[in-house]
Order: sequence, then structure tokens, then C-alpha cells
Amino acid sequence: MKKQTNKAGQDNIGLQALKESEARFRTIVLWSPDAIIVTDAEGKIEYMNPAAEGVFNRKVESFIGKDFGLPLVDGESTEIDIFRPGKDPGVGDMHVVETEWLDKKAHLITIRDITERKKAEEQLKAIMALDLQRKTELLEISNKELEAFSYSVSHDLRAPLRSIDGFSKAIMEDYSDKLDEQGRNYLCRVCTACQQMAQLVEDMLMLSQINRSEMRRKQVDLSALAKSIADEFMQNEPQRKAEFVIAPSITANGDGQLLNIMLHNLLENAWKFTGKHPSARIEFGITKKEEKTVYFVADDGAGFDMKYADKLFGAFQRLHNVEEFEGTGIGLAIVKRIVSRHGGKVWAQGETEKGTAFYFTLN
Amino acid sequence: MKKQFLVLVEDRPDDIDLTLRALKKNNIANEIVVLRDGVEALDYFFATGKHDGRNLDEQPAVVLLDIKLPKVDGMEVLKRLRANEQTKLIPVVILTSSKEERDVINGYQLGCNSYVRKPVTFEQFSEAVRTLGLYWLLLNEPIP
Repeated sequence: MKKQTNKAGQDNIGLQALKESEARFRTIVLWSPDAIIVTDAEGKIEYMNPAAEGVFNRKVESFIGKDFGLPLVDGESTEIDIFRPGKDPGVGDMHVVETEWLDKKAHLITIRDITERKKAEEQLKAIMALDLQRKTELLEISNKELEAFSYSVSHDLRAPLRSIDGFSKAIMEDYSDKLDEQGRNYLCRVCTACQQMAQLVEDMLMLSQINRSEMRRKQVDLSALAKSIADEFMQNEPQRKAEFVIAPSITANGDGQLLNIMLHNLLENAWKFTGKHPSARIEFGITKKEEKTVYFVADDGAGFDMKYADKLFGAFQRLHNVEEFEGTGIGLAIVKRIVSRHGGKVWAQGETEKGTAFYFTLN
Repeated sequence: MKKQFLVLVEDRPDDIDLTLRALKKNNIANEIVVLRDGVEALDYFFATGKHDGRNLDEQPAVVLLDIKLPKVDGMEVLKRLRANEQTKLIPVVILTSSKEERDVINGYQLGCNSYVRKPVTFEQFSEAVRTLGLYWLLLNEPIP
């Protein structure tokens, strides 16, 4: 008897535990914000939790026994469009798991309503697109401004320079007898400064034109270009003891005009910085680095301290003062832009008084 | 023989003086008509406004035309000259600070006879003016 009571008591406790567990799971299912749906193996709906009503905006009863209507693949997550009567269509994140329901094969489907999240994402996308559009517009405006600027550099800055130089020379010509030596010297300085500024303006203009000019690519004979540039230098300064070593038949695919400017600047650089040495050797050739053709212009001139290597290619950067070597400091900036426009890289190696080598690649 | 003269369309007084001086220094003594902006240039060539009643049979051996002009720019002046039967053959040399490709192409497309960029340095400027003067006043055969 006691044993029986005991058993009944145990059953009672078991029932109680089962009830509690059932209540716990019921709470989870009933209060889950995600729709939970159970279908049989064929996809016929057998159960739906209350959250499903909210997700589909329809009563649970209207679904029971109906076909779920979407392919059910075990373990798959899909984004689905939710048709909701009387409401805008929504978006759901659907997960399907194959399981058992009342001892039969079944599908457990959970659907999270991500309509609001999607909306927010779309809005964010729209904002970002607008932002991008604004930035593009700003970029276009600043490009136009840059163009207007270089136009005015070309047109408006040159005009007053012409006046300063022109009238200084007019004074020299017409009134030089009224000036003493110092007065004439001052006027000379005005003219020299004027010419320097004219050169700066010219270089700035060149730099901006290189960026804006259209690329006309073709096969270019770099050796021939280098040769004619070298000849020009030697003709201009026949007294210099300089040797140009130009490797034959070096070609590249690129814009002939731009590549000519680039080679001119590099060779001019070599020519200039070997000028203080009794003799000079300037070489143009190619080498290989990681299977890629690397072109180089090397000289045995003044060289430079490698700690300034990153400054070499900046516009208006100079590593020597004007009395030592003249120039506006734009030549290598132009070289860099031309190389970049060809999708290549340029770098330099040098040592003070032991020469400089410029290397570049082209694509 | 008709008198050979030059027209200079230029708004900057400095450039006018420097051009006139360069011509004089190079012994080019022909008359030079100076027009200070695009509107005055058009009035001159079509004998209107300020130049009402000008004898249109007298046309210059060459027009030295600046592009950047107040009121009506040089390109517009050139366009109007080329569009008119009476002025379409007048030789026009664009003399400007700009060497922007689009200006050069635009100039030739509108029918300029030559395009010269004003050099900054006086020697080169003077040489350019001298060459232009001699070429258009002496060497070139004018329109009959």
C-alpha cells in the first residue's frame, strides 16, 4: 500500500515536472517573436504559433491544413517575400529543419520578420548612394575648378609677368643712360625673377595638362627618343665631356608625347646633375625585377642622400639650392605623374656624389 | 595701292603699349587701329555704334585678336567675322596667353589664319610681334 502510494506520489511528481516543462516550452513558443510553423513531410501546415499571425497578418486557423507553398529544404536559410493581406509585403528570414512531430516526419520552420531591418538597410543604401552622388558632384566641381585654375594660370598670371618683363626691358633700352650700374643691376634682377616665375607658371601648367590630357597609346621606341634627347643636350653644350649609353630597341606601349616628356625630364635631370663633374656617363637601359621589365636612367653625377628619397617626386621639392643647380623642382613630379598615368611605378636610388638611378615600370 | 594697316583687338593697356612699342622698334610704321573689347571690335568691322559710318571698303591687312576680352570674347568676334560676307576673308591671327588645346582647336575651327601664344619674355614677345607685322604687312599678298 505504502509502495503504491509511493508510486502514485512519484507519478504525481513526474506529471508535475512534465507539466512544468510543457509550460516552459509553451511559453517559449507562444511568446517567441519569430513565427514558428510545423508542417508534415509534404508541407501541409499542422501548427503555427501566435507570432505567425503577426508575420503573415492572418489568423492561425486560416493556415492549418493548407500547403505551406514554399520549397522546404532541411538546414537551409532563405530570405522570403511575405505576402500580407491589407499590409505592404514584408521580408522574412526563413530557416527550415527536418524533425519529427507526433512520431511522423515533419518540418520545423522559423521565420523572423526582417521587414523593418530591410527597410533600414534600403534607406542606408539610398543615403550612401546619395552621399556617393554628392561626392562625385563635389569631385566634378573641384575638377572644374582645377581646370579653371590652370586656365587662369596660363592666361592671367602670364599677362602681368609680360608687363613686368616688358617694361623693365623698355627702361633698360630707353633710359639706361639715366641709370647707374646699381640701378641697371636691380632691373636685371627683376627680369631674372620674372623669367623664373614664367618658368614656374609654365611648369605648373604642364603638370596640370599631363593629368588632363587624353592618353593616346601606341608602341613607342624609347631608345630612339632617348637618343634624340641626348643629341639635343650634346649639341647645346658641345664642350661637355659626357657619354650617353643607350640600350638599343627598347620599346614600350604608351602615349608617345607623355613618354617623351618623361624621358626628357629624366635625362635632363641626369645631364644637369652630372654638370659639375669633369666627365659624365649617362645610361638608359632595362633590367628585370620579378619578371617585369624595369626601365632605368642612371648617371654618375651629384647623387642624393637616400633619406630624402621620398621627397624627390613632390612638386616644387628641391634637394639642391638654385645657385648649385637651377630648376623649379617640378621635373620629377611630372615624371611621376606620367608613370602613374601609365599604371607604373617610379623610384630612385642614389648616394651623394656617387650618382643617381631612376627606375620605372609601365603597364 | 590701298593703305595697309593693322587692327589690334586687346583690352590690356600694357599689352597694347608693348605691342605698339615692339612694332615701332622694329620699324613697322603702318597705322594700327586699337580696339579695346569685343563689342568695339564688332562695331568697327560692321560700322555700327561708335564706328558708325566707317568706310567698309577699308579692311586691315590683319587682325591681331586676343581671346579673353570684356563683353564679347575673341572667339565670338571671330565667329561673327567669318559669318559675314564682307568680313569673312579678313586675315585673323589669334594672339593670346592661352595655349589650351581646346582654345587652339576652337580658334582654327572658327577659321583663324594663325594662332600665336604671347611669350612672357620681352625679347620673344618683341620677336613675335615683329614677325607677325612683317609677314602680314609685307610678305603676305592681301585680299584684292
